[in-house]
Amino acid sequence: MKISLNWLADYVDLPETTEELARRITLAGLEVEGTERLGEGLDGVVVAQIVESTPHPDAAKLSVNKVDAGEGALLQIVCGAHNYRVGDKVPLAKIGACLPGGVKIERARLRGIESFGMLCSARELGISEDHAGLLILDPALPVGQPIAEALGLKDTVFEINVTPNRGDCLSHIGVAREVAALTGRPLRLPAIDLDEASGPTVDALLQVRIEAPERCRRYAARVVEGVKIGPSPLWMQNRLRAVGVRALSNAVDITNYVMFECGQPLHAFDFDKVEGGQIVVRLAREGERMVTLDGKERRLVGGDDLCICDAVAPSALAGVMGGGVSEISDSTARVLIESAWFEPGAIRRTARRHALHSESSHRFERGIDPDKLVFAQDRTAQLLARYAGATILPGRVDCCPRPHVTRRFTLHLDTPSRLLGMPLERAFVDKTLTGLGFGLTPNGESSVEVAVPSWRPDVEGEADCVEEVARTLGYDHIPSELPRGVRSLPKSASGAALDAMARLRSALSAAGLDEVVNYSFVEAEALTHFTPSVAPIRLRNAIAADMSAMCTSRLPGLLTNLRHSLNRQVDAVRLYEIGRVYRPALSANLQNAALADGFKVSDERQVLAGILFGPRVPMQWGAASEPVDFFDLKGAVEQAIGALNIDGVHFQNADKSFLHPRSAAAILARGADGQQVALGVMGELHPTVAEALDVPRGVFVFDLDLDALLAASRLIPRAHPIPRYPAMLRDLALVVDESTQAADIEAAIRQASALVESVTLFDLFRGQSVPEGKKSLAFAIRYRDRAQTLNDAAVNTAHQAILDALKNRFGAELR
Amino acid sequence: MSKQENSPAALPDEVVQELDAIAQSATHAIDEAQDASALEAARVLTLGMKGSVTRLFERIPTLDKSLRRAFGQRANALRAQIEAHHAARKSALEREALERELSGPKIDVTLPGRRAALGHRHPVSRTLDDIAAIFLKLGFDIAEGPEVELDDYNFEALNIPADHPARDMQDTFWIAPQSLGADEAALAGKTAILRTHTSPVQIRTMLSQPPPVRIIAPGKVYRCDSDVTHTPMFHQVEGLLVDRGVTFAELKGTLDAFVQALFGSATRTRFRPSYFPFTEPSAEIDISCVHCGGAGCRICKQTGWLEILGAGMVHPNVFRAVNYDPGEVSGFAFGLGVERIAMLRYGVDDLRSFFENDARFLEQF
Repeated sequence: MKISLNWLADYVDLPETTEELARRITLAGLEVEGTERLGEGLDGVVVAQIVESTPHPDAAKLSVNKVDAGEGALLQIVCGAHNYRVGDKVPLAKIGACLPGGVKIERARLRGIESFGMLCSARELGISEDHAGLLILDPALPVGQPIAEALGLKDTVFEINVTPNRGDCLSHIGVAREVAALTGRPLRLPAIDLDEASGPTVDALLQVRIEAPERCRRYAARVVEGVKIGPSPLWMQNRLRAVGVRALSNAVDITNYVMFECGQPLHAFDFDKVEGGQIVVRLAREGERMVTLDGKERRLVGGDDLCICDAVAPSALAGVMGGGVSEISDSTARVLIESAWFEPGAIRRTARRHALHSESSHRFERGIDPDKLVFAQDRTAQLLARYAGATILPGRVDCCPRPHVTRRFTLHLDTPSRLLGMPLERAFVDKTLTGLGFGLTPNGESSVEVAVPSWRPDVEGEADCVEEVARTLGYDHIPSELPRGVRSLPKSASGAALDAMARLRSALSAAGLDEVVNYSFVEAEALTHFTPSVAPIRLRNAIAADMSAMCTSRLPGLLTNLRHSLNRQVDAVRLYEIGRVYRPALSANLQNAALADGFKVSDERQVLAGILFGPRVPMQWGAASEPVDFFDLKGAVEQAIGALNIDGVHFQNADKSFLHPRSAAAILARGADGQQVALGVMGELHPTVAEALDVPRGVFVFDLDLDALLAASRLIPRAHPIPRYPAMLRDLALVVDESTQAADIEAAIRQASALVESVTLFDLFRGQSVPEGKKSLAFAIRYRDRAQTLNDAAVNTAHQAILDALKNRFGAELR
Repeated sequence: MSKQENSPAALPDEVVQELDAIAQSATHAIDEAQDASALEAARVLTLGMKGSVTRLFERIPTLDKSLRRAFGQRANALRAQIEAHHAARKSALEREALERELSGPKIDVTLPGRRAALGHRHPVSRTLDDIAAIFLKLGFDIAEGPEVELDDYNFEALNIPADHPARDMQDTFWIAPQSLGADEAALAGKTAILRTHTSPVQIRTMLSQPPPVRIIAPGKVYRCDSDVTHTPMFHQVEGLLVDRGVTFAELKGTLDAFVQALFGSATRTRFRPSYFPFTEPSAEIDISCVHCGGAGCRICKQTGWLEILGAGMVHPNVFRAVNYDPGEVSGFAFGLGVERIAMLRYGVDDLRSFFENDARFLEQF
């Protein structure tokens, strides 16, 4: 909301400097977001009087003038306009002046005659669109006076961020009331003195009927006649321009002016177009249509859009926009001035539905002062009489089915100091609230009854009074205290999970993976590859088609990151993301669901997903640049999971539609009850999926269930004593079938002898001496007896037992 | 032992000469060796199992008894002498070898080190963790809630009724009801949305436990807005403290402590009255510009202040919605945007770069 300080000063004496004013009101809740200084760029433009004017000898359209700019000697100015007479006062841009349009005035020679400046139109001064001729000034202005000063163009405009609760501050009087309360200076309201014509009163011409009183508390109408449509006075145009409104005509400008003055939106109807002398305030009927001021035909929503109708049809969308039929035009003679109160929520619905956000709807949505609408109407009539030659017909029609009832509640006097945490004098509380227009009636020793002013619909109870007191005091005067101590702490639950997450992230960093954060919505199509059986949750108003479905897997986002990197010549991509995946979970009917049930419509799980692509190690000397493979992926996953110290992690071949069937694994753990717990899947991205998502072959991905990982994590390790007796190492090179899995052999080795301490696969070999369809695995086995020093005989026995077991179970041969 | 047995007979000259020759040739062989392997070969030839010195001892049984002792003594002495000589030669050779190695050409220390690439934390998650750590120290616990929310929790219970202009402050993503699983009727007129702020976690937490409550709720939030300074998803941290007698002064102290922990102890705060439907009184909190210290610069648009937090005392209507008695308890709530703080901390100019996830951006953190 723009506030002109010139205008504001009509109603209250302002602090010395604009900076002080800005600071005071900002710290009271009216945040000044910007300050604009008007009338700058008009230096060097002054009031000048035309003393002599003769035609240019060589140019029919030009004249040569002698003007008095208050400098003693007259200046010679060549001019092309003709709308002036000798003796008129006009704006003169002197040499050196720079006009708002960027024109720099220099000494010039026009068809042989020298000119020492330029006489200006209103448009050249940037104050209106008028370029028909010179701007003829008030003859009372002294020559030589700077034009900005003479026309009142010098102004400072605040851009104030008015929060939605403070509709009362969407006007100059509203802001002035705040300034008055903050500074203790008096508020001056414009005096209304109406000169009503004699004759029959308005109710003889006009009937008003409110058919929807729940939507319209009050509707007042006045009629003026003999309106002469023309431009509004310059000062009014200046003020409207300062607040960002274009001047149109006196009738329209005056309704706008009054709205910006006191916050009441007004509508002016051409009364002669109001059929049947009737105003009916009613809800639109099904299928009803009307053309609004902007020339668009609107299809109204029956039973919800509120219309102002005449005897025949809707002529305005109440509180939002007028209709084309009853619009004020140059031929308008009688004007009906509407001043009403409409229900805020419904106005907002209508404005949003028709995408018609207007200055009017903006104010009605926030609640206008139901007790001031008559004042605003009279003010409008007064200005129309003064500046549009109108005659005010006597009386008004004031239809008020639901008069405003003052809101009252009890304020306990200790509440402000109790909530703010500081002592407050009762006198200060009284003075503050009274200054802001609240009525206070003592109600026993410790409380008062508060009557809320009609312009403050936002104030509902004690807490609001506390805010009034606090913001008037200034939040910087409230002390700062550390929060209460541990005695009042509720039970904590999140420590372990935080620790686990921190370890997990460290391990992933150590494994060389960069963390990403992607949007939670992706293209629905991409998800079908990863969760073919889940229809994702979709947005109704997505920003783009590729951001329309809540992800059921984080992999599509990571693959988009991969594409992004490859397009930018980044060839090594190792990324992970921790985030949620979302599945629809509206299971029960919510008909009788209470808030306290904590109902949810989605199943949200945390996942840890990642991708690896490109060279195994960064390009460097002394290390070959091999592309990553499944075992790099597995290593990274093992490293991450290892940080959580999960029991019995193991891997099995798996079938997953998005993974390469030969290179896909399920990651499992042993649960507390001995059951297998699924931790996730990993493998090479399926070639057809890679093709569909436009990524190369050789992308390795993992997708882990983070909730399961955290549940299985054992953050506090169990210590074992360090062995006291030496170990013995034996190697075992075997030839087995290709299909025999290393983990099974390892398990069998461990099972075969209690002396086995560790088993490490150190070689995998195929070809040459190994027959087709077979492979050779070489294990280093460390034997140890925790109770005594081992001897060769014991190890030989154990080793032989292992070999026998492997022969039996896998048909393994020694190599 | 008799004295007679102890007196050795003198060795014949030719034997003495032979022993001297063996000693000489062994010494020579050792001296000739120029490296460790040649020395080892010389050792085998002399002191080895079949070496010339070792074999002397095989001869003892073949000698006349009277000579045995003298021969044995000489042979032992000889062996000790050769062994000492070998040891001296060995250590001389090792010294030479070490000297050669130490005085060889220097390596190129400017060659790059061998390394595995280290991964990086995302700046937003890192900032989130840093923020959480400060509040954890102040006794706050972490709470979570769904991102696909219901209007009831995101707006209604927070004192933001339908058709309230405060809804303009937050452009909402709406969920297509038929995509929620069951038929649309099951929603029973309720509206599913993406949460526009983390405040519904306040509601869910208070509904699930009695006071006192002291939580922060970090997480993703969504608004239907995308331009240079807005992304449709971003992160917030919500905070809530409810107990008997909680004051605005405590709110100020908590946020002062937080701001100084995060941005440094010289950082000043400014509390301005503002409006949020779920708090009363409400405040916006500015900090002195982290870039210019408050003098005025491009970052703070010459104001010296940066707005980073919204806060206030919990509105009585919010307490009523969760069945807390506003006459019994009071509380404060606050919320902050994580990206905004990350931008200030790391000097990131473009909000959108957080979600582009360009490797060259990520590896800076």
